[in-house]
Amino acid sequence: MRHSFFSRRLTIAIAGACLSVLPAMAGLAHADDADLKALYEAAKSAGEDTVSVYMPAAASNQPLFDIFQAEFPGITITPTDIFGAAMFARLEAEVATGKPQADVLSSGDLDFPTLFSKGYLESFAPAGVADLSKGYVGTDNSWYVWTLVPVGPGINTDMISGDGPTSWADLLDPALKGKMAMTSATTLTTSPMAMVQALAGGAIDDAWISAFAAQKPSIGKGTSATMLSVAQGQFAVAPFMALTVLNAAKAKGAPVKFNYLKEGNAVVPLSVGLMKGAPHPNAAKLFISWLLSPSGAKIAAEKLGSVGTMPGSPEPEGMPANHKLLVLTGDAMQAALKDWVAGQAAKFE
Amino acid sequence: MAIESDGGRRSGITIAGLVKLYGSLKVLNGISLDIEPGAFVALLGPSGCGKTTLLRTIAGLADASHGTIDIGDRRVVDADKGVFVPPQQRRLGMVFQHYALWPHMTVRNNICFPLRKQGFPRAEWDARIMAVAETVGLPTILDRSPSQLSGGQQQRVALARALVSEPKVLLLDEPLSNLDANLRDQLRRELRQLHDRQGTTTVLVTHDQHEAAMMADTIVVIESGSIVQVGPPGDILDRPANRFVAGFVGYDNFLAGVVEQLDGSAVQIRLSGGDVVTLRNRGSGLKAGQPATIAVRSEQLSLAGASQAPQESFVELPARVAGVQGLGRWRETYVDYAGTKLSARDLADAPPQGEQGSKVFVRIPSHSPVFVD
Amino acid sequence: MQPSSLPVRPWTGRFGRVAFRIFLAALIVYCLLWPMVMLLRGSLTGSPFASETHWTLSGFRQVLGDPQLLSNIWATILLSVGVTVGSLVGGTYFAVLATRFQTRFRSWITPMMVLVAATPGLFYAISWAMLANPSAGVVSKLLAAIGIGGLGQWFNAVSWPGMIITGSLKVSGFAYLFLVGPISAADRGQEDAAVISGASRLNAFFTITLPSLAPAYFAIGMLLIVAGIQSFDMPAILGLPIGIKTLSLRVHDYLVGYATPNWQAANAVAVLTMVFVASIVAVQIWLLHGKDHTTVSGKSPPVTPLASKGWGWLIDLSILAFAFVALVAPVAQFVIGSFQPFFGLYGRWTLDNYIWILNDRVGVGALQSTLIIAFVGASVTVMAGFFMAYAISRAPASFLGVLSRIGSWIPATAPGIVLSVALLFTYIKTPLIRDLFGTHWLMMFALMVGAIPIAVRAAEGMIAQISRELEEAAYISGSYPIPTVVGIVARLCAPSLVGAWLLISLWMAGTLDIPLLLQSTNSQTVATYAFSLVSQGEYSIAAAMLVSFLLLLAFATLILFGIFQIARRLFDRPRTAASTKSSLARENMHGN
Repeated sequence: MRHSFFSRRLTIAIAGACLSVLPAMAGLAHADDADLKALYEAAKSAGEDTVSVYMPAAASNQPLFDIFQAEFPGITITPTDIFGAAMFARLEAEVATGKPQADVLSSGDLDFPTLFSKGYLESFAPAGVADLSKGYVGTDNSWYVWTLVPVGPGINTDMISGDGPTSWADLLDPALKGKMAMTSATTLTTSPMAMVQALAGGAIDDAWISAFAAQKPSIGKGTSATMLSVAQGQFAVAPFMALTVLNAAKAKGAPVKFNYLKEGNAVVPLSVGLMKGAPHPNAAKLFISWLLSPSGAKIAAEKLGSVGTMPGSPEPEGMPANHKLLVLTGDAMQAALKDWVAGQAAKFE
Repeated sequence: MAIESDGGRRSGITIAGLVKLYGSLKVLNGISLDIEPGAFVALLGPSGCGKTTLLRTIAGLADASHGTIDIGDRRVVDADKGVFVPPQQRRLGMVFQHYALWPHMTVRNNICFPLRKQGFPRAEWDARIMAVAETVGLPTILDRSPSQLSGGQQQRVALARALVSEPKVLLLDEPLSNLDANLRDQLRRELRQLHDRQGTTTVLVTHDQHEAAMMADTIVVIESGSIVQVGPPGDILDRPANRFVAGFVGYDNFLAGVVEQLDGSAVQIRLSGGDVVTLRNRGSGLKAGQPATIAVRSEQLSLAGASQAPQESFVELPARVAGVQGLGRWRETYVDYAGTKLSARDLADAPPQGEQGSKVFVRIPSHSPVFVD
Repeated sequence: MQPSSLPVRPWTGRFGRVAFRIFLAALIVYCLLWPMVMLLRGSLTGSPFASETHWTLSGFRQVLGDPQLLSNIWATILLSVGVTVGSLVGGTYFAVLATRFQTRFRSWITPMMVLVAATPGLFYAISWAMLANPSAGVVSKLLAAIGIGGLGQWFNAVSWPGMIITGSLKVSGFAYLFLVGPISAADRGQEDAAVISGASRLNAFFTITLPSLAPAYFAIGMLLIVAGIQSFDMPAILGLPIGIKTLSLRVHDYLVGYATPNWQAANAVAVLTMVFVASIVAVQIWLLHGKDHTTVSGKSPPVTPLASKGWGWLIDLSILAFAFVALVAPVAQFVIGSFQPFFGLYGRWTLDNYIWILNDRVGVGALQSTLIIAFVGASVTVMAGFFMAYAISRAPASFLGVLSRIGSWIPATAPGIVLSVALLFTYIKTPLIRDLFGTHWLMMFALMVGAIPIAVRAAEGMIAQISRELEEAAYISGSYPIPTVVGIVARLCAPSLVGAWLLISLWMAGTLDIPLLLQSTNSQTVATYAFSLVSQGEYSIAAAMLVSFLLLLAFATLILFGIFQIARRLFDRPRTAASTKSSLARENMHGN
């Protein structure tokens, strides 16, 4: 693989650790309604009527935006589906022309150290963020992991009659050989991220990786394309599907379901940060604060199926009680992926 | 239509030292010409001789490399000083070879166009259009589109458009070449009559000697970018200045000789066969002892079986019939005079003038032109 | 009675004229030539946004040392040659039908081909990606419905054969339009001679006429190959998902395919692609000895089409089949798809996709800015192209004429994505223009640059048919140059100019690659936004987006046309009042 993420100089060090979400604990200080109201008033008096959010799979987050817009009338979310190099190129152009258009950057946690090192992020501490586990807070309060999207098998219910795979071991079922689709295992996509988290969390081992590679999963262009191919029945199972993407397809009537795995599910940690020089700073702060607030976490759980990182965040419907999430963030994820690329990735070539 | 014969109306054209270069090619090679106000001048020459370029230079559609052009008392071109008045400011009228009527405008709007562009008061437009339509003999077709008109009608519209703004000069670029023979003949007469009534200075470009002779007061013969002869039609047709002009206006027999003696308008020439003839229509520049050429049109050349006593009206030369060819209602008899081939044309149903090989006498009118060659 | 002197207009002064010409020349240089210089500079420096300039050859070193480069070049050649051959065969077949055969649907062929050619490649590619999808496409669903679902696996547009066949279908439209002229003008005398000598008409056509058209085929083939090398949308949608990367896609890949953009390498590939295309164009010009026209000389007597005998139904069937495959099916898939909640799920009809677009700020913005681009940008382009073509045809040796000719070819040699990079560099480095970054005006400007070659080529053909005497007659009548060109030449070209406008506005709306690097969140075109939706898997919304745009464009065009007609009724009366006067006079006479 070329142009790897790992060749970049890392200027940050965050406490990377394998975390698991604790059961809901009520009563901790969240950004409360008063804080949000103050930011809302500030945004309105500054005439800020929109928040421009750059994020991957923007369309699948629409339910979240709808609720936000309903809660704060007069401020709309303008999502742009952009991430990775395209986002960097876009931001570079915006900064060079002195006219940033992005207010909020929300992306996989992996992009943020680079965004920070390029000076694109504005330090900002929403109320209550002090309670956030250290592993979810970026350098200088420049970004936060705000939600964890469970990753697991997305199953076409027309093609799989029973439960389908309910454990990592089930994914090695010979009946699934050639019937699975996933994103590239050799570049920085959800698939390797899920597997390194499962490895670190002890859900699988090296032998599992070899056996899984022998199942010959098909490689799709991206998470959305992979979801589409399973929804359309081209493949039966997408073993590393983000729950939010699956839910968006399901809401439109696709015959698909998501399985939680008994050893625990990997996640996609989504981070959020404030763009330096954002054209709508108050509205952007409002949106970020809201994402980290109880109502943001509740909506994310209900509408998208992701798990908020603030202590006491609710679990999405259908998630077994006390379910284990296998989480790596920051340096820990970086290091694990570096090992992956150097080692296990070759099994998928 | 009332014609105002004011002085500004008729402009003369003065051209001096006009040179036009296309790269290293000299299209116009030092043209100097004076056109009197109210004159009708024909620029005559074969295609590619530069006559159209000269007309376009007068019009301002082409520029000159050197030289000057004055229209009336206005200098419109002074190439060496960078003076160039664009065509739209020269106040001319022009009829193009293919009429150049604008197909998206009605006849009325075509004619009206120069009035609009030259700032004539709107109130006068209708009267002027009606008047010029009457002048050129346009029937009531003003609201038709040009594509609905016959060739002759289109020609009249083009003429009306050229005349409507009462130009100082009317330029005609082979205006009749796209019409059939009968119509062409009729329009030639009409154009000439129009000129006689209105008196607009007119310059006609044509390659047709009959057309030039029929219409113009003055013919300017042009060859390879130079003027070779200027004069009234009679002069050009009867006294061509050189072999080129003679050939162009229809002379097809040429006899070479040497000038023996000059006497007033008469000239004695010793021909290649040794015969000495006296002709009465000599050109300028002839000198005793110098070579000269006699030109004769084949229809003016006649043959006789026997010699006659010397006459005022023609001279005789002994020759031998080389061949006879029928050409529809004409017949051409080819004779050989001392190695020079001559042809005589007469009507096919006239008695034959001689058989092949027979001896004949060639009669040459004594007013046949003689020029230096 | 006569006006004493003509009004003297300030700009007709010698100084004004020269200044105006210098301004035009500078405009042409900046818009059309300078971007290529900036691209070259970019390939030796890197990111256009970097504040300091470091000269380096590392971009070229990376690219030339990249083992992928060779496969990119092969993919590019395979795609463009495949599509060229396929479309020449298709184009020839229908051109022969249209010019030589008396068949029932003969008059359908040209309009059908114009529609196929005018449909933007992006629409076509998205539609075919949906139509021939092995599991979700209508074709495979229908096959599955009649119990032969296994066959559906063979119908996959996202594949090498799929890409070449889809491309050939689309490009057949262009090939036909280029070929029908030469084929109908081909010297029939030669063919007649062969028939007299005993050959059948068809045999004579293939052995005598077609070989005589070799130069025309060569020129058109080269043109199509160059277009194939430049194509972006088809391979992006039908090739990229299975790892096919052409040179154009490689430029894009270097910019967005990795963790961070690699400007040096992207610019280097862009420069190399330009050189590649330019050398093909140079070879073509050299082989054709600089002849612009590929028309075959020789007067052709009126064509007496062959009456098809027993097999006439076969020809009719082939025309209907092509119409179905190349037009009806993609359009139907598109329209049907836009009313489905989820691509691949049929039977549940919904307006959700349209509602989504109407509620989507960016989507509505994309529709608005694309309409503005289509009306303002395409109109200005058609006018600019007309004036450039006028300079080229009426003053070929003049400074402006030569500059216009060069300027009208340069953008044509640059693939859209290369142009996008070049224009990004140019605009970012220009004060004031740089402030337009992120607005749809800059995208419009870039699309105008890209469309100039189309506009100039179209206008050249029109102007060539207008006799110069028509202008000269106006000058003599006292009309000044600009009013003459506008009032006479442009007016006479008007119907063709409207056609060119429609073609160019569709092209602008459907072009993905040129605005790609100039887009921003708030300035999207229908094409960039639809592409973004497709890459998120939202085919149905993308289809709804494109259908909405076409409807809006048609609607807006009809309204404009209506306004134009009304205006014409009101203002385009005869210029003088004579006709009304005479009719009044007649009434008076009756009154008396």
